[in-house]
Amino acid sequence: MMQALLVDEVSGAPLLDLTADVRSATVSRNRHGSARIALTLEAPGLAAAQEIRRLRGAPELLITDRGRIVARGRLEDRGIRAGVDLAAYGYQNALRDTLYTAVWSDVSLERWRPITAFERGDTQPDRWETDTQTNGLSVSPKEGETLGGGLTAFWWLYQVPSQSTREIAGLQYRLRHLLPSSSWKIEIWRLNEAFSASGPVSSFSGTGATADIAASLLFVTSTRYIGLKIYYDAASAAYAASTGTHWVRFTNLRVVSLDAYRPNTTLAAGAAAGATTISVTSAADLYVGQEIVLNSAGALSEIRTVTAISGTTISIGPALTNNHSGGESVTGFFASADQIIGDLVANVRASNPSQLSASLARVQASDYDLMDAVYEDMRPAAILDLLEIRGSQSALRWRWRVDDHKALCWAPEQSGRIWDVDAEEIEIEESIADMYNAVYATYSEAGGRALRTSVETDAISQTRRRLVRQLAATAGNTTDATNAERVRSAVLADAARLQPRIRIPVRHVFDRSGGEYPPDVVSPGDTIRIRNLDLAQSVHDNDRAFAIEEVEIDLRSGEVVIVPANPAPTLELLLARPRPTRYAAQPTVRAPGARRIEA
Amino acid sequence: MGILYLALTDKSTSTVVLSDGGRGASPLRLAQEGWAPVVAGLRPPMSLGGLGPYADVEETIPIMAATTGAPDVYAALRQLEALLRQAALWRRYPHQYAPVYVQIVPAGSARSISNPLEALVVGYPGDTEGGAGPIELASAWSRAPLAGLLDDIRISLIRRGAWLGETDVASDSASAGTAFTATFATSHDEYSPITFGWDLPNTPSSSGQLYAISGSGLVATDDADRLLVYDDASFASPSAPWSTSVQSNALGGNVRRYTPAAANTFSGTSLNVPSIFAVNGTYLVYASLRASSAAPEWSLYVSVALRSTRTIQTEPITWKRGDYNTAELVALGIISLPTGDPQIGTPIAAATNAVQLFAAASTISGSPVLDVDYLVIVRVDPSAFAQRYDLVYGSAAAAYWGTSQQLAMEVLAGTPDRRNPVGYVFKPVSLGGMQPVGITGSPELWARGDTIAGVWVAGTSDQYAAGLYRARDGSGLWAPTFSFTRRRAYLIPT
Repeated sequence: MMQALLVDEVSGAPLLDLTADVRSATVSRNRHGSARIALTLEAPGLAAAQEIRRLRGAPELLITDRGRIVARGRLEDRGIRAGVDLAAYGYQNALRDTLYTAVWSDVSLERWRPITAFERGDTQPDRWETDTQTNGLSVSPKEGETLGGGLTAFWWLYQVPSQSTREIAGLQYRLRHLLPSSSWKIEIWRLNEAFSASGPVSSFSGTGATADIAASLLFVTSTRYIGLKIYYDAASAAYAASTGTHWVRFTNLRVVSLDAYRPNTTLAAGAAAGATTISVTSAADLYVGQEIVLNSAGALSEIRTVTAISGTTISIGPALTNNHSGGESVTGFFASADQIIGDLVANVRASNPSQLSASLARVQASDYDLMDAVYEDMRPAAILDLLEIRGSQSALRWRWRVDDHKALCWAPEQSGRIWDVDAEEIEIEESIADMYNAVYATYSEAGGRALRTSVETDAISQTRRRLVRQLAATAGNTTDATNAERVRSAVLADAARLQPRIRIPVRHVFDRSGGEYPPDVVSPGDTIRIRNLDLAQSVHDNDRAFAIEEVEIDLRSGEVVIVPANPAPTLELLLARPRPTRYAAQPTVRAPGARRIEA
Repeated sequence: MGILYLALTDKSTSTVVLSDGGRGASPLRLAQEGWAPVVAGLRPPMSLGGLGPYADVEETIPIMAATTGAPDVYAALRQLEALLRQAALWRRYPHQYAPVYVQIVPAGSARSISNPLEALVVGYPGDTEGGAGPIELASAWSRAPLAGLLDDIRISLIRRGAWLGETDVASDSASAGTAFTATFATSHDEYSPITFGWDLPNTPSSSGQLYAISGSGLVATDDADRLLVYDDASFASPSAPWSTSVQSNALGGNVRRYTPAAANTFSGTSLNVPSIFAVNGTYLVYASLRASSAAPEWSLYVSVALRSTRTIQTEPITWKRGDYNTAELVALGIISLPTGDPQIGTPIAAATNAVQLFAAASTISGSPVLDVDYLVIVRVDPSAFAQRYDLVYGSAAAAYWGTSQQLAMEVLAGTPDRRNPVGYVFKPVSLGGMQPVGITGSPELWARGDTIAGVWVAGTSDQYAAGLYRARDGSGLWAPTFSFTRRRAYLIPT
């Protein structure tokens, strides 16, 4: 039999046994775990009410079944009237208590700016022409300006967000430059918050010709600022050439605060110019979508994107420009959702150690390199919501939730279970208000003109409903007709089906093997299948098998109310995924997570 | 059904007899048109709220007053109203009021009126703020008392669904990890409440020699065949990072030890397929766990492969040990082996062919180890009752222990009136000032069979997986005696 207890949230010591007085009890779960546990105690339970009022801290409402935890949450609402109404909220709320500011990976140029003369005495930014509008940081000496003499440098500066809990551990970049002579220098510095440092960590000199270098630079010591210094290392002299004749250009900049899981391998064999595959000695920490650097900071170094992995054979794009020899380094960075989640858990536990488990055993490793992962003043739950959208390379959407043991879970959505039920009676509330069986998608051509795909219809739905309902689906900012058609099809697949709200009185559910379980095991992300419904009549309208978005369980009657997933995950996934525009023609605005590598 | 005896009583200061076979002197009588008790229904088996398997029932009992004068009627009605109000107040303030019972002996019963069946009164229907009282008077009230006869009075009350009768006891003793079976003389037709306690023999004669309860628990069921214990010998040969480790006082002498090589990485060890799984059904799985360090949080789950084609597993749980490195009883979850083919509903053999226990540690800093002394697996379907209890305070400090002490359960000794007992269920006998020990889990069993089987899991602060208590000098485990007191339940008074 079940038991309802109030326990001390830190020690777990029981404070009050409410079981005998429970008049109604429901547990609501959403896709992030237990959301709300609502208990109403019998009106006579005033002794308990008085004790409840006196409880300090954030006592935990714990519901168990013979030791098995059915639901738990922190007591947040206490209403004492004729009876006692208690509402506890699941530990997913622990991720809504604190704020988080940190940089993990930043490919944006927004945080780069010139260092002013007030900040460093050796800089004169007004003597240099700059440009940040073409997918990189460009700088060129201005015609007629006096440069040299040690105090006329130009500095690009990157600063981590104020109070960021993480510092910069590495920098990845592609550097192209055309400088007149070796007296012209380019240096990479780690700076402290006073804009000073002991010296550069990497330096290059002009050669009078165009040079091209790619590097994945891991700092020995992390830093809060990075400086990119360009200067003329000679006596002061007027720069006589036209502005733009000589230049320095950083592209594919990536600032990271991580050094774990870094791909760090070598070419197992030479790779010729034009090759689209390379062979590496180890594929550890290499993932599709990741940017890697061949022969970092060395001669003929290149930066490429991993497009496929087959053992130690790595497909890359675009094709190699240079020849490479076996043994050359293959390095990069990898910012994954699971690393960030681990830090979020630590962040929460630093303030509220009793609210979340330290265990990350249920956090699965993600396979998607998060290029843009900068968070400022955000709730951990909001960050996790973002990661759900962007956290995976695969077609499946990933989900976060906090289980009833306070452990944060991070896994693909498909990991839910399938439960069969035999419904003796079923109540379904449905409406055609959100049902559409003819859909087209809107997108745009390169010049911005709105375009529409052809209409795709669901013939079965139109026949059954004898009604055509049209919907225009927005395919985002894509200019790709094929992509827009995929969005159209996904929207139709979801919208043509009714999304009922279902109330099913069940005492048991059955797993796919026929094993019998109490209904309280049902969770969002699972699928409920009503196996005694007529298959022929119900296969289309989503009323036989339901992916569960929310569930409410009456712990006295066993009745289960299910809200099916809506919209379906396939649609959300398509709309949320970054556009494959990294190599599209000269984008002037970088789509999230998408950059181009210049030929 | 005739009523030979019907009374409301707090067993102390107040009793109102409504029917006594004509022998009593109470001015109140069960009305002549008669009354029959409501037969309680079963609550849903997984239901939260109330007590036991039977729903509370609402009774409306017609009574009449027949006496020589109005003062006696008034006094009797006042007493009756006070008793019912006392029942409601007891529900509000259980430590300040005595519980009230309704007692009954049906006509023709072999039972004597000195040994009635009884059910706890937990209030009355209007027992809310502004609600009606428990007594409804007749419209003839204004004149009838003067005539000494007042008919058509109705009292309303809410009582526990089961009538409780005879008491019998059973006991058995066993050390931790060893299943015990206490056997009653007979089975009963209805689920009957059973309360339990235990006695500790031969406690050490001086303080400082005993590390008492510190994280322990009991699993109990009403059928010995439904509860089995599996120790390290029941596991398959281990491979790293799992191993077999010889430990003092471990069941069978060994524990199955997990030494995690990496944090947050599940690793499994295989069991020989537990014999209990030969019967399809729903199982609760518990483990006696001990961790060397308080730093890690351990995640555990059980995986079962069915017919080589499908794997089922428990939802992973997370467990963190307390201040002491004692064994604890941890519920790993629920496993169900199919009772029928999921498609056509015909019985099939589960043919379970692989069972594994998986564990992961949140950190490996300090090289922590997790010891699994044994697993307890309980089959809970279709109707067998199983319960699990936790002792959650290890606060019975050694210094308090003296000679010849007993630790016994005081509350619930034959009374079904459990109210908010947390922290006060168990307390030592004959030891003033001893700190009470807490419990979670309803401290009562409801069973129909004639046996109670259980496994006690407990540990001491400096020993692996030891018994409930033991002397520090290593003189061996003690086997406490578990005693069970049952009251026979009736739905229809007999």
